[in-house]
Amino acid sequence: MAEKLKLCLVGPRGAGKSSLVASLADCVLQSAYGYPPQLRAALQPISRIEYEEASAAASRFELLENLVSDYERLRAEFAAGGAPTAASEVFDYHFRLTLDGEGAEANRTPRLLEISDASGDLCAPSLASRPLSFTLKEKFAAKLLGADAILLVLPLARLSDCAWSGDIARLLERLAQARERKATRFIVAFSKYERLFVPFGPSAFTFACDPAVALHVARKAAQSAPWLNVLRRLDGGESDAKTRFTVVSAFGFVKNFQNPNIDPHQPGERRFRRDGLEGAQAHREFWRPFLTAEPILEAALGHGSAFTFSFAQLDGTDARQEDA
Amino acid sequence: MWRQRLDIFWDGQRTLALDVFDAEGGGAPELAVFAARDADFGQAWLLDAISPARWRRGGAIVELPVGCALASLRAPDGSELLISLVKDPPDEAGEQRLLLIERARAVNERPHAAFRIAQHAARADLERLTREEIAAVGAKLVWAISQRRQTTAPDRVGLVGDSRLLIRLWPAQIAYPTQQSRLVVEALELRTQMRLAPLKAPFAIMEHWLSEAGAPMATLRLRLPSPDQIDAALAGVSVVLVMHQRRRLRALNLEQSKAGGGGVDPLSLADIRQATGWPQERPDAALTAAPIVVHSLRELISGGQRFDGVSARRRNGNGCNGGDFLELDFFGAALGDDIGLVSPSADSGELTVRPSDPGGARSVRLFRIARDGLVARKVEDDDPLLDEIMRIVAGTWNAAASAADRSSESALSAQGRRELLLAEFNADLAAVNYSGRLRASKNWEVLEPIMLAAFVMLVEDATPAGRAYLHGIGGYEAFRADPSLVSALTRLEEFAPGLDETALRERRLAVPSIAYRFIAACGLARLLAPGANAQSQSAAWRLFSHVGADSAPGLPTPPFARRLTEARIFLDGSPDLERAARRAAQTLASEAMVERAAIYCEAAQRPHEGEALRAYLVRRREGAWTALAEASVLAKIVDEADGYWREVERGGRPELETRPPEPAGVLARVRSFFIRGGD
Repeated sequence: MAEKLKLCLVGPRGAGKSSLVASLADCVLQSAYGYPPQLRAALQPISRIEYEEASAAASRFELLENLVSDYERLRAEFAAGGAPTAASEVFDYHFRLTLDGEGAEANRTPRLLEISDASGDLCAPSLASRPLSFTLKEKFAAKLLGADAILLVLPLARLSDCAWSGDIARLLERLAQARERKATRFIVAFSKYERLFVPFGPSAFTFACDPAVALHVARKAAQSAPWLNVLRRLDGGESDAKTRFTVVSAFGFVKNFQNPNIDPHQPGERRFRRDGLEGAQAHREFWRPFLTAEPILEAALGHGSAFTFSFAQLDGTDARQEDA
Repeated sequence: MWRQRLDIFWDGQRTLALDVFDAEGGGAPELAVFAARDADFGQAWLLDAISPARWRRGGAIVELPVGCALASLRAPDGSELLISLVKDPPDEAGEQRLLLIERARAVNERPHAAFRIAQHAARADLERLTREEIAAVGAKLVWAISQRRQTTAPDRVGLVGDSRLLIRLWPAQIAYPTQQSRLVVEALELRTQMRLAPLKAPFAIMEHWLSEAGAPMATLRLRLPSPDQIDAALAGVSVVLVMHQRRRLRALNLEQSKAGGGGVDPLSLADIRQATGWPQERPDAALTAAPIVVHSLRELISGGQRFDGVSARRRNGNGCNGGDFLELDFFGAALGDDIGLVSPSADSGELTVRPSDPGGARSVRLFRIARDGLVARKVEDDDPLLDEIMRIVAGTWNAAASAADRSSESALSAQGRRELLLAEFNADLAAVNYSGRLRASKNWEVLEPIMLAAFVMLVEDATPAGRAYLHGIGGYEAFRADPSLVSALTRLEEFAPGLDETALRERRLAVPSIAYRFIAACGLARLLAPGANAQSQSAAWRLFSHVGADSAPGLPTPPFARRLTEARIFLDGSPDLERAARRAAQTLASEAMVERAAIYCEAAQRPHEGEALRAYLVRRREGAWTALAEASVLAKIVDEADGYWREVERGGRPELETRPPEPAGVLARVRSFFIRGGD
């Protein structure tokens, strides 16, 4: 019997929540995560019915219906440069996670994942955003409270300067106090990790792959956001909640060239691509996401990788830090 | 022997520079310069007439008509020098004249430029001799031109002549700075190799890092010039690395700040060292935070220190003239970055990309790091990136200059020397209150410094009004467009209006003879009959520009031209044209005199001559023109009549000479006059 797991993404607008989900399958496919290679994880996008019925066999009702699923649409949007998630709906994406490796990491029982994503305006509405419907808010709140794990996606920027910090802090405070909250796993994913390595050019990937550097980054980011200490109160408390920090990059680092995959000659934030090709294929030659599967695997497996850090590690009080 | 002394330089196109640069040998006589397409000079055009005073004061720059490969220089004593322009490879006969153009030894020393000629037999080791001459001058040398020439008798090359001498000229070459001083740069292949990871990675993402074995290195290979040229070639050249992702991140941070978001603080080397606990950690990257890194190529090649983002290694090889290769490894460059060379003072072609130069701004050659390798890209002069690079280069050089010994002239680039010379020329122009200036950015053609010096001397020799006129028509650009005409016009006391560089260039191409161009520029276009032969062009030129051995340079005679115009006489191929024109203009200038002569003819029963005079008056009043040949005949009648009337006025009553009636018709009467002798 497959284990089902509900995850809910929260974070401000533009943090990269949808990009994280969009790059998830590719990240696992390319083994671009921080778990041991022997894990041999596979992540397959599935339909809601497959998720609900926990069956790989498609019903006759959906045989032709979902050829272009929401997830494929999301990936296509991401390949085209991405677009803000519409603030009119909560999107659920479903996956089957299997581990085909050997050893202790391998647990061949598939896990069915439901990842809920919504516009960042739900968590931290900006002055410019339109008022959101009560129904949508209620629906997303239900997702949040019913999730087994909550993924907080925060961009690696000067968090103290970000206008949304107060909103996110309030949301975390309320979540911590909510009695009906089901989640016992909190994963803080610091996104857009690749941007920090721009000064290192061709050496960017080298340093990005070093867990000690990732820990340093996560530590600095956490220190600049003291409101994250709300999670510290939950960590190891009565609810047996566990908080982990990690770093992710949906754009990643360019294959072979190893610099951040941000094409400086394209408008906005775009990945490198080969001229003359369109769609996702145009990017695959260069694109390798970086650790975007990390928070999902952490939530699903319940144990960390070289790139997931506890409060103790951030504080420097955990022996694992030295090992890293 | 002016023919041996005269220095002639041909740019290989249509420009000849004529002067006598040997200061001790004396100048040359007055010379008329003609050009023709055929060896018999059946149709010849006057290009210039050079008074003795102009030798060693800029000489003459003449432009040959299209398709002309022959020129003739004729002195008043009948001696002639033929010039044949040859494009075939030169043989070992003849000589090379090397013109060395040096700056003055001291600032403000005059003259600012010294022109020195070194002659060598063509059969000698010209390359070595040229190199030695150049080396002997040292840092004062600004420009050097080598001109191969061969003097021979005309009949040796199929031209008929006895007193004539023939010089065969091959295109002049720039001997300094040489072609070899150019920097040729090419990109080496980007090597992206995957390998099997020799070590087992503890986590999956690291397997990628191990198998990729580091990012590919972007490398440029420079072909260095020969050792004696290397200093000049490398001076002022910088290596540039443009890290576009840094530029983009900077822009992104600005956008974020404006939008109220938090900017990104990229990691520093200190962060990495702190994170890894390894204080010696040093990435293969540019350590500065700036997005553009610039290093002096000469400092880079001298080694001895570590340079940010770039390293160089010299390889022995078959570079230009046995020079070496220099390989520049841009270890700090990543996909999407630009790498290359920049030289603010580079002339066109000094930085060249092999195998195919992209063109664009001459001061920069950039390669973009792309998936399939380094791609040479065309950077235009107005590219904002070039502006940004240049500002950084300027800052770097200023800093370097303050630290270095500024007096080290050996380090001065070829362009720097040219700029100094130009600055001194400009000081000369300023000293005579000429408001125009020579531009330093101008590309120099092979004869450029000769033309510049000639222009400066023209300005110095001109009157204040002449200088103002010269500046008004475009200054040096106008002079370049038509050196002979502009020189002549600047020496006038009355100036031709409505000229500019474009008009001058167009007229020079359309009208090969300076006589016609000059007359037209003075508004006297009808004064010379179309198709005048070489002698008539020369005489007309002498009449109007008054070039002569016994006169000051180029003093004009506008009153004479006015009298010819008033009398509506145009110059044709008449013999002894100059004297005849002066006499006709003098005699026929006054209508009253002509009228009185007609009366005299009628009283003397010479009705045909009277009618001829009256017909001339009618034509003249209608604005029609009369050829000099006919005008000369009429002038003789008027002269004769004038003698009669003067006698009458003195109280005498001379006998009127009567003649039998003549056939009707003016021309018949004129012919009759010729038959009777005229005198």
